[in-house]
Amino acid sequence: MVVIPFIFVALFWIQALLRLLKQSWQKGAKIFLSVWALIALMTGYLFTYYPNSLNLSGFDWAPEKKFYSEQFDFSRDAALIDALTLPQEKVALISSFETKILIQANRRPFFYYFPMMESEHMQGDKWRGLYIHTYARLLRTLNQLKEERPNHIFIQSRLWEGPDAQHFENTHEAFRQLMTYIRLQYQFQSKGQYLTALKLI
Amino acid sequence: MIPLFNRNLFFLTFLSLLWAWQLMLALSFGLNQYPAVSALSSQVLPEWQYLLKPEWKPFIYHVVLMAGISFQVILLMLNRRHMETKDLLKAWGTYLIVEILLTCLWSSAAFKLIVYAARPDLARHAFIFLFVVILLCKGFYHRWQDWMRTWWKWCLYLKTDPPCRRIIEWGIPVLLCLLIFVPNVKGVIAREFIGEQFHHNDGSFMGPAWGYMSGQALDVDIISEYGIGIVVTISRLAQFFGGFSYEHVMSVMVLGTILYYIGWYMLIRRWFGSLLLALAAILLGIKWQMFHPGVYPFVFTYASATPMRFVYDVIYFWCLWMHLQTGRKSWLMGAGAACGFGIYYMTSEGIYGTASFGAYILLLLASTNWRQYFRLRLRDACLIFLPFGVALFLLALTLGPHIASAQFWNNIGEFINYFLSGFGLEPMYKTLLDHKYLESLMGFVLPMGYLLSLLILLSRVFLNFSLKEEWLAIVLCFYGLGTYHYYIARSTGTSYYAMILPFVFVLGFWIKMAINTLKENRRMPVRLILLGAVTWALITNHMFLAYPNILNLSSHPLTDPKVALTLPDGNPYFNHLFRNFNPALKLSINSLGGTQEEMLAEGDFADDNDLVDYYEKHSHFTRDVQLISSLTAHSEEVPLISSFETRILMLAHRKTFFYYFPLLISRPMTMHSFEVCSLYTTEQLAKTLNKFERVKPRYVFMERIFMVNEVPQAFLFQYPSLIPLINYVRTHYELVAQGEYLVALRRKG
Repeated sequence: MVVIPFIFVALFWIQALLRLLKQSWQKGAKIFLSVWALIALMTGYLFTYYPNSLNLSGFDWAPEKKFYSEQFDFSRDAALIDALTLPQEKVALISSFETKILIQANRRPFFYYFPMMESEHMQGDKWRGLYIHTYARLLRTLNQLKEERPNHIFIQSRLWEGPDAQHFENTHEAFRQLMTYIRLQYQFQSKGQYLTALKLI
Repeated sequence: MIPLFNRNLFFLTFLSLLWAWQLMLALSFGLNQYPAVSALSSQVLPEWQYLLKPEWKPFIYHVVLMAGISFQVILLMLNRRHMETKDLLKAWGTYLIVEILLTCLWSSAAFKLIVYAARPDLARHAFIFLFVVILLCKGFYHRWQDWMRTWWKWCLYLKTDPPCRRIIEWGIPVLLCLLIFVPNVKGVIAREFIGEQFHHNDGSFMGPAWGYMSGQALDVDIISEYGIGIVVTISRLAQFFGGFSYEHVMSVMVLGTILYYIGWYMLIRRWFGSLLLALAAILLGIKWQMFHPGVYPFVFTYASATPMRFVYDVIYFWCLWMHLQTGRKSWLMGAGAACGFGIYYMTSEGIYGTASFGAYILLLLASTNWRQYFRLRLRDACLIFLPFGVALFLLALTLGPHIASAQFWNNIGEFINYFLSGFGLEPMYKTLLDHKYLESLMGFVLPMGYLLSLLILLSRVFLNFSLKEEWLAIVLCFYGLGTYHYYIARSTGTSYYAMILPFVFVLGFWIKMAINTLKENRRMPVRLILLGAVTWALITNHMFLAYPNILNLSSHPLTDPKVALTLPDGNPYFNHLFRNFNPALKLSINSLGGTQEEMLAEGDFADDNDLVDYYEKHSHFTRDVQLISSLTAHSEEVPLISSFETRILMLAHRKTFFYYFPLLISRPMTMHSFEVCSLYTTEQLAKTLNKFERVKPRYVFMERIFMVNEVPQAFLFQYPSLIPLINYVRTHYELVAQGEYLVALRRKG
């Protein structure tokens, strides 16, 4: 990305140098450079896999698409949000793929620090943590919850209960403090496919 | 209007950039002495602390950009009236060259400071020293031109003054001695003992050499994988030095290497007609051949990769050179005899020399001009067979009647067959798979360089354009292509460097030819630059800095962390082969019945003397040697199944019973594990067991750990030849006595 200005500057100098050559050599050098750049691009490993219409690698994208359509359908969770919140309401959601879920549910995000979680596959056993890097961010998020007191919080089920939830609380300070507050103020209401809906006590 | 490519403008800009770069190096070094702190450090949550890495980088970046612009503004203001004159570059030219040189050296020190961050002492000292020099350089900017002139006059004086010239001519062999000579031979043997348990040298040299010295016939009673003459020659020379021992063998190898390089230096000194170029070529040869990663950390740990492998070739090429100079056939016969000695000495290397010798004779005969010039007749083609005759004669002298036995010739062909069958080979693109692109590229450059040179030079021969001196390059190309089989057969890492010397000399020849096209007054500066570049490459190489010669910067180069090499990943070199040994293959106790493995590292020794003391204390195996001596006769063949079997048998003055010797790949005696056996095929195992059945030796000695009654099932797969061998001994022999690490077993019944 940041290399684009450099390329133009480099081309300026190449052009200046080419002007020192004879006219016929200039043309040859330009053709050589163009062909070289084209070959360099076309033989770049990442370019061959770039999903353009050329599809030089011949990669079959069908399994990827199938996986996407199967694994990234959050309609049941979107329906849960839809059922418990109003269309104009900001929704407090703590989950992987929170952007995708809220788009599907057609709701606004509640949290200022959004997205709040580093997404991981819903069936995966890893967790990459919250984007709450500092105590100031944590305080602001907690204050937001305390001041605006949303009626519902939607949380990824594996973060609410089970061995993973306990482990993540032990290893992530921000998550521990957030969950301490939520567990005090909210209670279980219902469950979707991946999400659990919590209701303000 | 000043054109875009104005010389003065470019010169001033280049100087601004150099100063900005220097400022960046100075700021980076200075500021990094004070780690940057972040106001956020108390704010960041524990789980994200790893992301917090405050740096001076943005500050340095902005300062350097501003400095570059400021330097340019100042230089333009000072020189704006001279932008179109030619005098500007004349006045500043010498200073600019010095600045470029110092900046390159300083950047190189910075590079090493980062790359060798685990051992930065030497690079840091160099960096600080160059920092001071660069500051001084600016203070004396107006004097450089005069100093350079004075220095140049001195160079010319040294070149033309006969006494000075004589001192330099003789000084270079002395320099080569200082570079290669190893004063603390016992220390390097101690390092070999604890570093890799004599693994390489026992297998390639000491094992067969002890067999030969104890009266066994090579490749009849004991295997000698690398040839016969090398074992005989070095062993006898070691004996001459005061007795056959690890230390004396090492001394012979070091001395042989010194003489080899001096011999080649004197030859190329005459061939190139330039002292500077010959010295540059020899230093490059030493750098590539002796200090490459393939012989990490010390070239003499791998006898087969030292110049002792092909030491005969210096005599061969001297004879060729003399033939080219005098035209006398006796020199041609001398070259043939040298090749014959080569075949006897190390079969593969001698064959390559002989092939190049044959090519030389055939090409001379094929070229009418050269045939007439050297007064050769067709019958002189018979000289091609001279090397084979000499080799057979020397083999007969060494082996006596065994030379006529089928057993000897079958044995000599055994390892050749293994290689031809693909045993132990590696693909040539292995380095590419490991993403070591430069290593890989060099592997392909070598044969292409030889072939390119050969095609050009042979074309010149057939077009009758060739000069006499080109013949040496032609033969070197043939010889180099032959020795390259070393890498073709086993393409591991940078192993081609072990055989790179012919390439260096061919390269030197081409450089010489290129320099000869320059004007007379330009030649010496170019040679000086080449010599400077090669010297810099050699003396900044970490393997060279760690080499325990007299010039070493440390008085304890084997253990001093300032220079001593650990493994590239930072782990200790000492005991490196077994430090990460699979715990699943370990038993609960070792041969001593204890649990301590004592896997010492470099840091466990106060200095080199401490290392030698440890070696003296732990390498004499006194009780085990006494055990063997008390139960066997002086001339008896002793079946010993143990690590350090070569050393133990040498101390006990006993022959080995096994043809495949050393039988085991040594590991520290205190380890709780078995060793890997060097019997590679079922045929070798059967041959070994058959000898037991045939000879039925009264006693067998083996490590106490082999008396353990139960081993994990995985041992059957991990030690497929050792387990049957131990089972055989345990079935047919019974325990009668015990030493420190060894037990003695007597044949039942």
